[in-house]
Amino acid sequence: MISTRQVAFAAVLALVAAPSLAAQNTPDRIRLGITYTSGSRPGIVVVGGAGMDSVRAIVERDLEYSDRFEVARVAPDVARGATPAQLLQAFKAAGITWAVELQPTSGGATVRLHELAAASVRQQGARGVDVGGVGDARLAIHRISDEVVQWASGGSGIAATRLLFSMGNDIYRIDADGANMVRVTRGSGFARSGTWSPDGSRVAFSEQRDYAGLIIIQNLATGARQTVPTAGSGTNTTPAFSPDGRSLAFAKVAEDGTNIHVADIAQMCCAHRLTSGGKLAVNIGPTYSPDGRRIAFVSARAGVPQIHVMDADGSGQRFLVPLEYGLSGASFSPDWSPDGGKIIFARDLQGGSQLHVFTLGSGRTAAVTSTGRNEDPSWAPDSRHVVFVSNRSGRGQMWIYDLESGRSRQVVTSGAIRLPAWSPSLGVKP
Amino acid sequence: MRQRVVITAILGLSIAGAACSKKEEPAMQPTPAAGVNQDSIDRARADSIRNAQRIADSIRMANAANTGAAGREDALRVLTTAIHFEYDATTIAGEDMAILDQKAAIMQANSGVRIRITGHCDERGSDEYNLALGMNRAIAAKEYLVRRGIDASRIDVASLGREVPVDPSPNESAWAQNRRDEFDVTAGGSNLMPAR
Repeated sequence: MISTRQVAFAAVLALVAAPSLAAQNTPDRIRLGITYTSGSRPGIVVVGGAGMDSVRAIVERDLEYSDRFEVARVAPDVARGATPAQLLQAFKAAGITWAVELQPTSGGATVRLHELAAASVRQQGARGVDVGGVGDARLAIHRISDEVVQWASGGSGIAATRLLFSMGNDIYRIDADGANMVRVTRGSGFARSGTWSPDGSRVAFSEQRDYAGLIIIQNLATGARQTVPTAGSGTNTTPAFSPDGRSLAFAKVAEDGTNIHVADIAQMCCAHRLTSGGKLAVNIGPTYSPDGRRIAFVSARAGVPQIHVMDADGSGQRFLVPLEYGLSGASFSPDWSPDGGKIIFARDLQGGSQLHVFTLGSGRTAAVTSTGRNEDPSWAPDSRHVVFVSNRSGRGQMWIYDLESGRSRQVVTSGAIRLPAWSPSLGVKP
Repeated sequence: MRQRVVITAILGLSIAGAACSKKEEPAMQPTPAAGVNQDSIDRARADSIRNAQRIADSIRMANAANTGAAGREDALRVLTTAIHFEYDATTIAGEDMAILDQKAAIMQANSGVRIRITGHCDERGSDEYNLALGMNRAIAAKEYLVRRGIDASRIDVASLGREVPVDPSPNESAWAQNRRDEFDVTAGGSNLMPAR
């Protein structure tokens, strides 16, 4: 999200830079309305051929939201007067590193990534897309964005991903850029704690009705639902898929205590308890390590809820996040990063709730937010962005934060949002 | 629930009022007409006495019915009165112990009564933790009643966490109202007797 001050500054640059660029483009003297603020990140610009405006706009925004580039923008009506060679020369002169060229083809687009300093094409390919860019057809465009990120930076993009969240009694999904919101559940109870299967094809969630809670697995393409066997009465919540997709851990809130159980969802059987502690036990919020060998979770066995860890079979239960003097408020909602190196969680501090990241390698914990209530964090597949709920805008809304750049943005602005979960990459390997 | 109790009370007063107005009606006193024989006079007198008796009986029945309904309402009100908790706590406060004692007495006088205790929380803390906390609040009240002699099988427990606030406002007053156990009568509530 660009602040007002940054936009104003960029506009001034454009006014100053444009005549200069035009002078460099003699003899045609084409005026280019480039809006570009140079920074520590490499500059990138997206240009599209006829009929590619929607695709270009989505890719531009995706690259902005990747937080890996400074995105330069070109006024389309002005730029169309220039030849591709003139444009590339102007971009290079403005200090831009990369140019993405989108040209229409039958049934899709050709994508070229120009490395401006080398005056060469780094990568290119033809991709099938609906250039209208609406509804679920946007996913194919997001995949182009992630390919560009991969080609230019070597890193993983997060454009072809979606977010699950609770609003009202239902769970919704939305593209990570904040467009294309779709209701997932059927409104037959309180739907909470949505989570994604490892391949992104299914979601699991808790459906609470008649004073009990079921764990449902729903196929996103067909809508088919399965009720996970949870053994015994109670309210079942916080489901988490194992990385191989064969097991589902969850918490059962029951009269004999709140404990973590695991079910075999390949066979849809054999739910059994992993934790214990008596009637008033509180063990909730399981999250698997990416290798599937461990589960981090919240336990109040020491009084105040704190982040613990155990082996996936329930053995070796112990504190994970060390207590810190003056900073050891109740801790909730752990999520293990996809790269395996970090766990993010929310910790109650001085009337608020702040997100903290525990780094397993160093054993250190660092706060990543400082004001208001910030809860329910979930990692993006790039292990650098997180989505969470914050009341910093006055009520519970969904925000995305980039731990590397420190930039944040609000995803949607309506409704009271809770319990977001970031999908795995829904892209196709290039 | 509070609104329903008030409406019921108003209805009760209306019924009582109607009964009282009937009670003040004078009994029929037939006046012998000229030329009417003694048999007719005796039959008329007997009819008048029977009629007066019917009115008196109906007044007694209405009063008795009204007293029973009020007793049931009082017992139901006591059984369904909520108790409240401090932040992130499951300890039952002194005034709430007194409320639970009254519930226990009514349950002892009505062996067919079953109840469900549902724990609720304020909006702070995670959704999932609040489900567990709400359950522990319900368990705390159940265990208190069991210690007062109520069979555990007559009490179900559940939690709705932070899902159903009394007041959704984000302030201390609302949070205090929302941290509660609610009590529902799930069986045996139609013929409640007052506590002995």
